[in-house]
Amino acid sequence: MSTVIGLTPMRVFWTVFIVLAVWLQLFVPGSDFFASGIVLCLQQERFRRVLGLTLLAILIQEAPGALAFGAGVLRYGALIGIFFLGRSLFEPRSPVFILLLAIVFTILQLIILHTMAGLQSLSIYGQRLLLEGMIMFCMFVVGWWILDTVYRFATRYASQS
Amino acid sequence: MISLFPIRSKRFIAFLFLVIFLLLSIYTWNWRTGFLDRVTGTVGLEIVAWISSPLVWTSNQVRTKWDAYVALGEVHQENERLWAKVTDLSLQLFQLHEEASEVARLRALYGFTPPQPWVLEGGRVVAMRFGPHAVVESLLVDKGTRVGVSVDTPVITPVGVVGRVMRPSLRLSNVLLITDPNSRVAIMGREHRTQGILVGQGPQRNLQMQYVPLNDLLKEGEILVTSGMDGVFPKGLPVARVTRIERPSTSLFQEVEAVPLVDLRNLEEVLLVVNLTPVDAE
Repeated sequence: MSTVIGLTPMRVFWTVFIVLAVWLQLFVPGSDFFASGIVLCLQQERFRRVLGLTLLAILIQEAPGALAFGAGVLRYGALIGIFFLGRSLFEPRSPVFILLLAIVFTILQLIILHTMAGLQSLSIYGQRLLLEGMIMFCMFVVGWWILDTVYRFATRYASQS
Repeated sequence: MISLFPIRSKRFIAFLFLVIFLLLSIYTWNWRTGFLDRVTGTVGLEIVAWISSPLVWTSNQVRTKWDAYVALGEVHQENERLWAKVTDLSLQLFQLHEEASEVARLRALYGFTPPQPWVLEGGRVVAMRFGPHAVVESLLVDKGTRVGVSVDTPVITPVGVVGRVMRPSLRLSNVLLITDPNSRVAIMGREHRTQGILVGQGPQRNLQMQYVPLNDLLKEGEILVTSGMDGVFPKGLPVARVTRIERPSTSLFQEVEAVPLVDLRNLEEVLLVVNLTPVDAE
């Protein structure tokens, strides 16, 4: 189903997701609400849409940070890489896969942020980075579960109409 | 299921090396030129500004309406408190007028160039440490290059210094706070004029005044103001209050701790000093 201006339920879904992700990041310091969306996009959508969403996420995350350009590319590149590697070993929609993906992504994120800050000789607060990593792990899993539920509802609505 | 990246294949390893090489090349090139930082900084912050503007506008409207109509209960008490403050400030103003005219006469006498007046631009705090890459103490302010904000623009409140702009876009600016370990502010004591460098120690930790020789005068409770020697902050802005001084026998310098005058965790509005001429450009 598509309107005159090309509005489909899936386009509305991803637009609302991007807006909500930015809004939530305004309220939760140091958080990333795009990662779980990228995973869902990898599971459900064509690679073109994944690429578009990832590029937008990289732009949004790179801009307000203190790190030089590259950390976002590495983080989301690692996420996509782990997803494809894990897909050959696990069923990509299983909760176990999502849990393992979240764990590996969180660990890689900590390493990437720490290394990139080190390259710029930036002093960072390691304890907080660790704590926020744990929060991000929880948000990743919960965020994916909520998104997956809403996405299934949206696809059902789209197929019915 | 067919694997997309079979780990054993030589092609995959070559692909991985190519990606790493490309990333390192881009990173090094950007490190030298700063091109990608500028592009992502401007475009990315503008995207954030566009997406967040409806939410920021709504919250501002709600806050304004709340302050104007609903939260009137405390207005009478606040009015009394403000009248007392106005009386106190008026008395101080009489005294300062006399001293200011004396300063003007002395400047004319000795041929000193007076400091340029600043232009302050008010801004609202949009977010604290936006995104996972915000590994330093920072905040987003809804003013950018459109009103003259640039890199290193000082950010203050009427109480004291907040920090300086790290990365501006058209409508948003990312501000590095003075509490961050990467922040350095050239300061001096307001009474004894002892100079030093104020370094942040992380969130909810005291600041440290460094490079104060053992024999220099400084006392606990003294207000530290900007010295203007860093070419970023104008001279005389209050920054912090000294809380602890130690003179270790094994060091050439005093150990000085201070607390910021501004409550950086609950900031809602800030002022950006937009028309400063850098010291080295004068």
